[in-house]
Amino acid sequence: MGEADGDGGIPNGTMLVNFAEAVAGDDAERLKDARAEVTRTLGADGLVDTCGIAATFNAIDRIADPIGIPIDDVRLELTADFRRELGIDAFPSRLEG
Amino acid sequence: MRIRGPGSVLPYPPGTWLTGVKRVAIAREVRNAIQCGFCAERKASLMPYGVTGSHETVTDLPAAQIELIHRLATDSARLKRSWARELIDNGLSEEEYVETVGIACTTISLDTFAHAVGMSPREIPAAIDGDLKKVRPPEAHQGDAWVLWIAPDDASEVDRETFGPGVSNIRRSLSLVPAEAHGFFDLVSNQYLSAEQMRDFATRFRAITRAQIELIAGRISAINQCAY
Repeated sequence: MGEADGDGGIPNGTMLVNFAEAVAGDDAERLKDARAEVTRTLGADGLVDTCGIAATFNAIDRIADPIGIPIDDVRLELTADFRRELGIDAFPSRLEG
Repeated sequence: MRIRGPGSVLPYPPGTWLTGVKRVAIAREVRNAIQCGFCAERKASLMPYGVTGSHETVTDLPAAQIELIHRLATDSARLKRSWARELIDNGLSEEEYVETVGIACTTISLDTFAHAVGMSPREIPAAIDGDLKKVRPPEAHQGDAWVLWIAPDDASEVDRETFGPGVSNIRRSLSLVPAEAHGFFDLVSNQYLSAEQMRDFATRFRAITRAQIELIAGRISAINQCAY
């Protein structure tokens, strides 16, 4: 971790966010460019691990939603402030119905 | 839903409640969902439950199962407990519901990896015949989730490390069908971190740092609007 300078205080943060957005998006050229940048910067191993994380969370989110799992008790209080500040509490998946 | 073409799909043998043929059909239907016009219309709507129509399907799976697969693949953030209950009341057992979620999400994970890394896709393998175990874990009960699961204090000795106290809710989410939970989280351990590795902040397990890992995870989950 470092100081916040546009990377969110995380080395190569902007690049990794861009890659995650490209994976989740519809723009094949953007993904191709983002993949090339990650490979140049982090190497092939870094690319594979980055893809593995993106793949895992694109799937794990879709398990949490239809199973309707609650946030873990241990995390509920710890995350209350930033869930509210970031608008996460307003996500449709937080609503009961 | 962000699947781009087929990848490697492993869950083709018989499951606990679903045959190999049905498990393969679920994987095929996941991949088909991105081309479904009804799903696209509903995804674009501010009121998805007000949109009526029919899914475009490539299998003969029951309607409730098709709805589950297509919806979790294309618009999972806006699911409701009443929607899940309706599917279960209309032909899907809770066990089939949970196993279907596991297979669909395993497919999504593998396909997203292939898409992200730029791999050539592989065909879905043929199904393998075999007997279904159809065993519900006796320790599964209704808890805070929408379906039955194994609560921390109810976990048996065998599954204490997997579903017991201290384990996150996401890891017990598929516990009504333990084999499905184990299968999916084996994949998670390989692509992300094992439960043990998650608790070890002092060791670096990947080519990228823990902070970088969680940044990617957080951005993907924000895009998916997953509150968990």
